[in-house]
Amino acid sequence: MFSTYEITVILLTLKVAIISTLFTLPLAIWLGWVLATKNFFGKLLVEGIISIPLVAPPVVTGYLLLILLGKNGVLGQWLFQVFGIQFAFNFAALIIASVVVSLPLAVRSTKSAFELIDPDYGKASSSLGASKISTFFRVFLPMAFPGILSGAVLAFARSLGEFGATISFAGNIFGKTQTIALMVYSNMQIPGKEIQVTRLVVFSVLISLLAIIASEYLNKKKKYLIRQ
Amino acid sequence: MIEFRSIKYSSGNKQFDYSFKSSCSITGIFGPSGAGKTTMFNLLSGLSTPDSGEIILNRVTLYDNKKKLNISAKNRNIGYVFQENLLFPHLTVQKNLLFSSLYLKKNKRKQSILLQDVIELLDLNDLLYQMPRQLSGGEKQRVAIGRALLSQPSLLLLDEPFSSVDCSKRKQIISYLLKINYHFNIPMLIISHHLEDILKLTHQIVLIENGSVTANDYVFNLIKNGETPNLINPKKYQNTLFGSFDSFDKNDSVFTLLTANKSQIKVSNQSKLLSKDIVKGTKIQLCIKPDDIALSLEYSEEISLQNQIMGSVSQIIENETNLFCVVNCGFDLLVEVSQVTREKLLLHKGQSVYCLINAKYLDIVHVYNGVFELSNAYSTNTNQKRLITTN
Repeated sequence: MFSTYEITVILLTLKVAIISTLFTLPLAIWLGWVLATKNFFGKLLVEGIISIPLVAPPVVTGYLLLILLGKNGVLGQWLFQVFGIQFAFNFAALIIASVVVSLPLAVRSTKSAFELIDPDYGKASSSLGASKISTFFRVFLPMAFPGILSGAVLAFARSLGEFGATISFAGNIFGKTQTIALMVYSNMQIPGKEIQVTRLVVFSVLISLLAIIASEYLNKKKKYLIRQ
Repeated sequence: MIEFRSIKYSSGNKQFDYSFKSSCSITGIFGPSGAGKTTMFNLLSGLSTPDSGEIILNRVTLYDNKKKLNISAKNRNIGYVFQENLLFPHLTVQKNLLFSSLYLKKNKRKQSILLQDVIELLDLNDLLYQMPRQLSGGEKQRVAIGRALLSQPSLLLLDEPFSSVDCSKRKQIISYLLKINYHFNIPMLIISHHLEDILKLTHQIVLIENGSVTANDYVFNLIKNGETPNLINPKKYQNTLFGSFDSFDKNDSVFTLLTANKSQIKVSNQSKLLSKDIVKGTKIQLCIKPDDIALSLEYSEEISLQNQIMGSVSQIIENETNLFCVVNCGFDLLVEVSQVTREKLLLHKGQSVYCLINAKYLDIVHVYNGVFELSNAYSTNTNQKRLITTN
């Protein structure tokens, strides 16, 4: 059904989506929790910065990443000189781009999940002898779980479809940084590759559809679980 | 013993100032909405921090601003049953009950209250594997009480435990609370808007108004001394008396109880709390409203009322709207009378009277699981729990 080239690209795309989701999730849980439960100076600014990739053109996000983490970037240059680490145009760049663009979606979902929980459950937990950390892991995290899972699904789906930031920051190198979206884009430029393009498009659409259905289902479950 | 020494606390533009002591096994906290009852619970449990003062529980200082001492909520060893239950919705009843077990082991706290005892006492056996959303209001309340008990508290706080349950279930919860208080001997503070409900549990009341304690005494004493605060309506008073089961009359379906001074009280089993195989000597707690008692100067054979208890008028209390007699029948009964009755019977201090009570009006609050030495009523300051033998 799929050619070897296509399978390589599909596998790389899934690998990137899975790894970036694993990186996104703890960050999204922490940020969602902090934004839902704490009030601090500059909270709006933090929320704004996290949401930039959601509203800015993805190419702009990629460009900003390049300026920051590229070999000659503000941070990238220092990282390369001191540690010999390079982030642009490699697998790490793919992951970073994916995490950055999917983070706002995941944070929105986790934040809303934590916001739905009555903070008085924390009081009940404390009165039963639990510390704040224990309360978080035994009460708030499980109660927010469907929302967190929904955020993870959205982050995974966003990663699968990521194009602009990836092409700007990670490039379009077959076997290294070429994902499904980038392969579709490349094949669209070549006459006679329509069938390949269609196969990948159908695959992408199906995966996206499944992700959205899963996310919606989990969102409903989130409200159901919290209701006593 | 619980003691609040000049506890001051401010929240927004509200100021709270609490000073009181209580060493009763059950203390009722009564007051209007927004008076600061829950705030007091939060300060006591460590969920809020006072601005100044001292909080002492069983000789242990929980908070002292001068010594900069503030024991955290998790280490205060106070069980808190919240008004909204706050059962963890993602956990089954059993897991809710066992929530605190992890911390008991960590804190090396002795487990004197066992899961099995709590399950049996609160009839939770059929609920263990259900989720909180599947439970009724009364069932949730029982689980919340059980969960708090299993944290092995040295004090139990109950915030409006009757708010989410209907009238019949209220009675059930009251009975469970009395059972717990007897069985585990844990002091309780109970907030309720309903004076009648509190009075079925205790007559020791801490009255809170506008963020401070305005009265702390037995309601009966407050009424007797004529210091009844506006909030306490004597008409809502519940005379509480104790009797031990003596016999059952099959023809009338009436149970006969004996009071401490061996006078008989006949009770019909309206609430179905008494079973016919009840053991002789079983202690039963009853209550009756002051306006459900009539007075007569003579004993009458030709009367349908089952109870004619002899006593003498020890006090007549008169305020702007009400007239009450305190009748000593070996235990004190507050009886509401009208001015016409007073004049007709020429009621005066020391006069012998009969208290006429319909067996149906005697409300059975709780049947204790055991045979006790009986004290008279709540009006005396003695502890009621003088156990001789238990089943």
